[in-house]
Amino acid sequence: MASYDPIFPDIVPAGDSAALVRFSQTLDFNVNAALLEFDNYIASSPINGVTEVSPALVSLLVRFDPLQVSYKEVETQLQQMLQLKDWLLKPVVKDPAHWRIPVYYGGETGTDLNEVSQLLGVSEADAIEQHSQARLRVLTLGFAPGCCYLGMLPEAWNIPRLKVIKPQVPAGSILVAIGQTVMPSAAMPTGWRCIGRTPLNNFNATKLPPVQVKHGDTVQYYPVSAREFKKLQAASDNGLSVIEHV
Amino acid sequence: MGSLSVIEAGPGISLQDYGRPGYQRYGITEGGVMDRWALAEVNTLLGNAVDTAALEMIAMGGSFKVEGDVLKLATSGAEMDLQVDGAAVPWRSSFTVQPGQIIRCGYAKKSIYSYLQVAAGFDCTQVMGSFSTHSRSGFGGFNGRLVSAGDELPVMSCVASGVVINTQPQRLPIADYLSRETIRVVWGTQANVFSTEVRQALLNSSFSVSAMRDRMGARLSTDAGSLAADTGLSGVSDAVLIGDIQIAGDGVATVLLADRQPTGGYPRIATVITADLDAISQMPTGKAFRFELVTATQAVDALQNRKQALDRLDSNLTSVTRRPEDITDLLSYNLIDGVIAPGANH
Repeated sequence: MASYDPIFPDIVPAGDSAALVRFSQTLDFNVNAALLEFDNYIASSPINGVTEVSPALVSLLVRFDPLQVSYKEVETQLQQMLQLKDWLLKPVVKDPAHWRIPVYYGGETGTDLNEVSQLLGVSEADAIEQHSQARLRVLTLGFAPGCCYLGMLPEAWNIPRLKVIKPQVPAGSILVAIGQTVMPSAAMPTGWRCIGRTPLNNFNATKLPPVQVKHGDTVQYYPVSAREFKKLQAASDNGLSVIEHV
Repeated sequence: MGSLSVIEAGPGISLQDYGRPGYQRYGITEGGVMDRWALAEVNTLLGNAVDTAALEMIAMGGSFKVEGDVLKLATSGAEMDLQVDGAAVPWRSSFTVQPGQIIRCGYAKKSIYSYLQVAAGFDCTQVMGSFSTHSRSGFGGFNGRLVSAGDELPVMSCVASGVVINTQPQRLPIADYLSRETIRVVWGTQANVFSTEVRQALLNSSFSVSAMRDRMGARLSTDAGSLAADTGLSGVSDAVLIGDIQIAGDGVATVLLADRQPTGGYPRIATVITADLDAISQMPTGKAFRFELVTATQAVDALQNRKQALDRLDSNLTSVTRRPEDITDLLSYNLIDGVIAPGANH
């Protein structure tokens, strides 16, 4: 097991109505799993006056109504939960779903595939193979509704973000940087490189929960042709599921 | 069934309530009204539940034609010139309108966000527990988008909603949060990445909200110079709070507001206390203000005081009385059934 900064996990006030539980200050695959397990545990033993718990990559925001419960009380209860065990030791993400998600790599949708393959020092075909062979975990959702952050890609994929932000990439873009993949459900600006596109729309405002692929789920991408992509995109636009639950 | 048909609309009119907390884990920001106090006011004027969704207008109003039924309306937030069929109606008051009449809201004076509401509220579908419009993501409110000319906005039936229309127009005094010169803050979770000098500069400098402001946030101007953090921007993204004062790589501060992104990686030096969120959201563009550091206890006390004031908001209601000499067209009104047409100008 890796050695972690001994000050973590810690709990700090965030504004006047929230506590932030920090498991680390840097992204780590194992720490993220610990955080997700802890998130699950809080859900099973709710704290009075807490209105919302939301996990990020390596921290967890616990919002409460300060007119119902004090920060001190929330902190004490969270501290007790943290002390139940060593959360960083062999964390287990509870009941993750595993998904196979189609991606049309390169072409007119994955405009940065060539540049990414050059950064990796491999052919485009090898870059596609590496990306689609990785078994990734949904580390968090953020930035926009249904937008997944997945990791970790092989070490070589620890490539920097772009210096100049792209004003807009379309929904379903498969973006890569810093060892992760981002999969947005709507068009958005980004500083990440785009290597392909999936027909999956991971956000449906009329469903509960409003996302299909969620925290802790594991994902493996598989390449599809432009033709297959178009077919799947049409199905997705008609509200059909285009991903396989394995 | 009554409705308002939209003849003209400013560029930022949307239906908003207190938003949809509880979905941040799915990347969905809470959103909701920019001025929570004003939403409570506009609903109190009409006897609605304080969190009933109302039309929020950003800086510019619009014209609305009353269709199908007698409606009772009210306004709050940033003051606008309000007219019904060309006759002035006082802001922050309730008024009754007849089918065919035209309501016109002008430009916001001083502050930014104005509210127009109907008794019983507008009739549309709740999404994830809220009527709030999230126009960036295309859901909530009226078809997930801003209100535009040609829209017809259906109004809930007062009878079905159990709302009794009191035709006596009422008004509320202007609240002092619209003229604040200090905004209270607590240090942010990443305040430690800023030098002592930068933190002092935050508290000792004059700030104003620049023209770069929207429902997501307000970029600030200051004489403090760069407020850049000591360390780089390598922080791992975590949850963003409403009221967070984020310092981007260029050293410029932005206060993150209702439609903020749910997560962010820029360090946040301080957070505006919950009790002052309406004041910072409504801060007039270019008006000088300062940040005042308070303790967590003071922040919660301020919130408690605000809640108590909000709970007794209806005790501030006063009847709008009209001087007979102002009523030039008295005979044209049907006074028998107690419906008082607008036109009071005082």
